[in-house]
Amino acid sequence: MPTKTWTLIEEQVVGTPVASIVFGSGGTLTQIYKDLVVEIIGTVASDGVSPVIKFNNDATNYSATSMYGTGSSALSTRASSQAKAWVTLATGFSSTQMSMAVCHIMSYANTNVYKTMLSRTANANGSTAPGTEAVVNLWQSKNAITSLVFVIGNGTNYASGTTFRLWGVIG
Amino acid sequence: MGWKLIEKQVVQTTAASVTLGSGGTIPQTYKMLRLVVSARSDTTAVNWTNILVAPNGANTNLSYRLLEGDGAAAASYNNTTGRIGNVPCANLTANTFGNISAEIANYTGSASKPISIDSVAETSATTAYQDLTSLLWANTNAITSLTLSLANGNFVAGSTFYLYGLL
Repeated sequence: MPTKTWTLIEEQVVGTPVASIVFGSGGTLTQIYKDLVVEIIGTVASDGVSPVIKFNNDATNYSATSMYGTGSSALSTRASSQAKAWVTLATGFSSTQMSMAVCHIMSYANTNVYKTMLSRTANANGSTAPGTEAVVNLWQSKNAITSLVFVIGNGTNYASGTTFRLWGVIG
Repeated sequence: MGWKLIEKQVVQTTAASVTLGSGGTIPQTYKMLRLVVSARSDTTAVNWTNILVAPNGANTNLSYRLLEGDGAAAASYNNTTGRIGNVPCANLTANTFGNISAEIANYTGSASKPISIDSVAETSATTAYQDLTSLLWANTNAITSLTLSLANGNFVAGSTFYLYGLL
């Protein structure tokens, strides 16, 4: 029998629009996997804003580098000394059409390394900041990741129907 | 749980198009789909050609934005087709194929369908392509089939199409 590789840890679907979603509330995220994968599929209340993630609700020690295409320009940008990890740094999610992001969080339970997250996002038809983007984030902490807090970049809400899935990847 | 192979097709001679889930039979039980393609065109009219996807056989309500590197420069484009990548044609280095991996979210849902695509093609020539693409099918129907075709020519023998579901 083939070895299963990805296991769904938890799924949350937004009903009433909310400003934040938490996986592993109280530091209860399972530590048995090698990596984590997060899917975010949906819309946001304010067009062009980015989902962001705080590991263990930490608001320090993040940096990010991005490359992205807007449909007319190929660009790269960077942010240091950030208070969160950015799923997108330049494009963002749409408020009218579905966008998607897949984020790989490497070695999340390893207490010997800083934590890296790679994200790929797709927002083909938003009105404010559409595009395709790849972002690498670094969280300069050796702490194991025991919770994930998803908020929105400018304090707005995730729209109803937005889906968050957390997968564990077997090493 | 994890990624499960739903269907695979391997072109034996040449084919103008390939349909996965023919007759609308892609199961609606997965969380996400992943389409993995390796393809080449038999045309001599051009050196590179686009590979296109038509959800449920439809080539309307599609739009994309991409970021591309060609070995000399980076650029970004947008259009209203189901372009998922670039593949080499008959004039280019023999036995080289374009490779595409596309993740299709919300394929069973009643909202629009975002698709995130990585595509590459290396032919050991001066120009090759690596793309990151955001594609959107702005249609509320569930995706029950995927038809792949080329803007120019036919798929050559050995082109492969794999559809996986994530559960």
